[in-house]
Amino acid sequence: MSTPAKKTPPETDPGEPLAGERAELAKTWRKRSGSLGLLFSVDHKTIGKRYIITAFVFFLVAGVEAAAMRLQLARPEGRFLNPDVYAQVFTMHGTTMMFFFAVPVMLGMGLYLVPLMVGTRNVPFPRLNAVGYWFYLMGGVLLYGTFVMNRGPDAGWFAYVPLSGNAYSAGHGMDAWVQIINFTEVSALIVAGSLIVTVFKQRAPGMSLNRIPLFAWAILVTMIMIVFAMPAVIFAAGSLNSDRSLGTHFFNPAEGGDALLWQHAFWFFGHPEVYIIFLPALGMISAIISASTRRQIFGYTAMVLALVATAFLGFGLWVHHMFATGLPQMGEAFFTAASMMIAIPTGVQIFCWIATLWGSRPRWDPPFLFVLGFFFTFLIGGLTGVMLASVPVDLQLHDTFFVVAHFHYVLIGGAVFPLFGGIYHWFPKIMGRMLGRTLGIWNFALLFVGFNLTFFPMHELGFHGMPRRVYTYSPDRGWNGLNLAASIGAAVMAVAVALFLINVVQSLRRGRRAGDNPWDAESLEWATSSPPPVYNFVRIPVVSSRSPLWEPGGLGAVTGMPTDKRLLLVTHPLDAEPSHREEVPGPSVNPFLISLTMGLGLIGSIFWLWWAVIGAVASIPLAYLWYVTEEDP
Amino acid sequence: MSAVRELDVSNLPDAVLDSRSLVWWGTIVMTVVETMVFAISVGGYFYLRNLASAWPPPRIGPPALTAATVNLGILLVSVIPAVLLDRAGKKRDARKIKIYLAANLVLGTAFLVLRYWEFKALHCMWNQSAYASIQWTILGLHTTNLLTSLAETAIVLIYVMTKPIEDHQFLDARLDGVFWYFIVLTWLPLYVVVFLVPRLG
Repeated sequence: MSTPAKKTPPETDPGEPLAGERAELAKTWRKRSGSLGLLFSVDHKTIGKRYIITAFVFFLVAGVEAAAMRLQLARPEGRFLNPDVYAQVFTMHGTTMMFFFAVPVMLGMGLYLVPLMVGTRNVPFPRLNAVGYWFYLMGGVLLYGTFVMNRGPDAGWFAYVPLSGNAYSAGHGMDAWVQIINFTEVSALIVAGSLIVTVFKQRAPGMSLNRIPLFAWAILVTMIMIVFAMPAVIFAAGSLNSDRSLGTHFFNPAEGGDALLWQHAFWFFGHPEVYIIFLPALGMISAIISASTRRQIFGYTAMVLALVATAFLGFGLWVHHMFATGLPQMGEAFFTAASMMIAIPTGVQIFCWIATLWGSRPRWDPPFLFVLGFFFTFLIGGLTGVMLASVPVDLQLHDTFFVVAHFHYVLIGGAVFPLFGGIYHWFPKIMGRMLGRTLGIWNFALLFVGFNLTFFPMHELGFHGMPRRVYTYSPDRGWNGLNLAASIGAAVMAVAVALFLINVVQSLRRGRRAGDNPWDAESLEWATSSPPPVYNFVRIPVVSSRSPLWEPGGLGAVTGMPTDKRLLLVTHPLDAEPSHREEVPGPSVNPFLISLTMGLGLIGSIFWLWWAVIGAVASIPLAYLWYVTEEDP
Repeated sequence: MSAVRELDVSNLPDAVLDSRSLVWWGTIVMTVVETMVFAISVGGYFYLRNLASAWPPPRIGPPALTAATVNLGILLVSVIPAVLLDRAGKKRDARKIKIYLAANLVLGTAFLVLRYWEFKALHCMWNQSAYASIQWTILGLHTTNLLTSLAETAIVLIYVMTKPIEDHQFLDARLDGVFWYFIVLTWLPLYVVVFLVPRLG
């Protein structure tokens, strides 16, 4: 990542009169060196990479938790985990996968790629962006701190009251869980603010709204969803926290509260959360299909409108998680209709991809294989989703393994397969080397087989009435064979992930050099070196079509940007006409320090509420320092 | 170089003081997030009200209006220095932004002090019932935003009093005004929800 700019191959720009600019940009945008310099980073690529790597560490940890559960359930009356630990493990698995893997890894991909794709040098608020990562990291450390002390949260990842209330979850485990959620909210909202403004205001000249790469569109829509979804979980977590520690009565029916209020508030966030994970994956698929077939995606406008429609509908589905709570039938009917409607925009996208692929000769490399894996698994997940949207079916299958099967097909099929494809696709850009093809194909094949072997039998287990979240079952239920199959499948998945890790390590050491654009892809991130220099582009590109790198005339360039200051080119939101230049701050330790005071305040508040206030007050001088140093760099 | 189209931006300004700037957009995103937090809380309020047999519970009774209404007056008056601050920032008037930042801080602090009596006017503590909990939450959330805004005003004020003022500070002064508009605009419906709706019975 710290490749000095000088090594950039000269062929990225015609002629070398740019050597002077290049040298000065490298000096202006340089990072702080030394190990302490790590605390100062504000580059979107560094922060994005940190999100991705940290998220993958959490993915591995949550995978180990999943393996532990499959080990426990492989045989009836297993003794590997006791019920108490089992409850902690499934809660940790869900919390980690949703809050610490799936969302942050998408945030990281967006942070790394979107500024490159739209042709800018950094996100608009680089220091704030650094705070987002520190918050995320602290949340993760806190989560595993409680787990290691055997005080992990154990009320499931959606923490229904009254189980998560004081009466049934005494002790600090749930208090910690609430703060953990707060950390992830802050981090997601910060990334959302950064990337919304990046996409609207910092696009390269010429990149009007109808020329934004589909991945950047997907991220933009996702970030807007975050802005509207996270407040619901802020409210939910805040209320649960105050019910637990201040004695409020939001969820206490005896004093006018209501347990279902939690479910409404949580799922008003929780359902859009699924789309926050899923939409970026759709963007990745478009990028991969376009690069694999060397075609523009068919039906660009329909694709964008489908993304927007999915986001809107995604906010009208939350009650389908609550069909078993006895809501009015009229309401249930509405949410059934909305849940089925969501299949329409998704269908539009799938047909557009099929149309793109039709008659093409795609390159059968790992990214494309993962996309094919997506088509198959996500289709099944989508179909079981339509089944569950029907109230009578849902009432039968609620809280059974059928639901577990469904959402793993949606989340792994819909997000993890495209994500792996995306990693194979963009790893060359990020690290400068190709991932191995053969290992990649094995990685895909084993993941695909292992995944289906693990989760397909769970549909059947659900039909047979096996409830989710039970730590064991008796041998006479007829569930033994299917459970064993699922556990074997989990082992195969573990091998697949191990192959992926081996591939990454090998490729980092001796992978083939990628060059600027190994896939001959269309969008701007491939117009710079791999890995990109810290300032991204020597000259901000000027684009004149949706596929700037496939233009016969080549890429245009912005001139007259001073290189002695950290300047961004700001453009108008609709047509990306240049508006003005704006300076952004450079490396600073302030984001780290202020995250520490605020974060320790939040963590302290688990034990004594005033710590939150102390943390906030201690942050004020740091905020002043931040403001002052931002003004005179 | 002939094949490559070039676009010269050397005569563009290095700073703008209006809605084109990145910081402006960031501020707007933040206010949207906060507005959504208020909206969800108000949703929770009406959800609980719908379930309640009486709102507020008879033993608590509706909140008193005096402190809240006086404070509403102060808040409406405080819009004047905010507008003037906004305009002074736009005109790059260093002297005036100091005056109006100070005025904003004074009126905001007065509003904050009176807020103490607004909490008292609720006639309940947060732990007495779900009604009390949501009332305290909404009032508390607005107070948190208020404190943030006052801290921001104080930081900008200290800076402009002690250091040379550049375009950045003029923009920040304007944004301080914009954030104050947000404080005022959100309070108008929240005042109705917290102090008037409970009187509907």
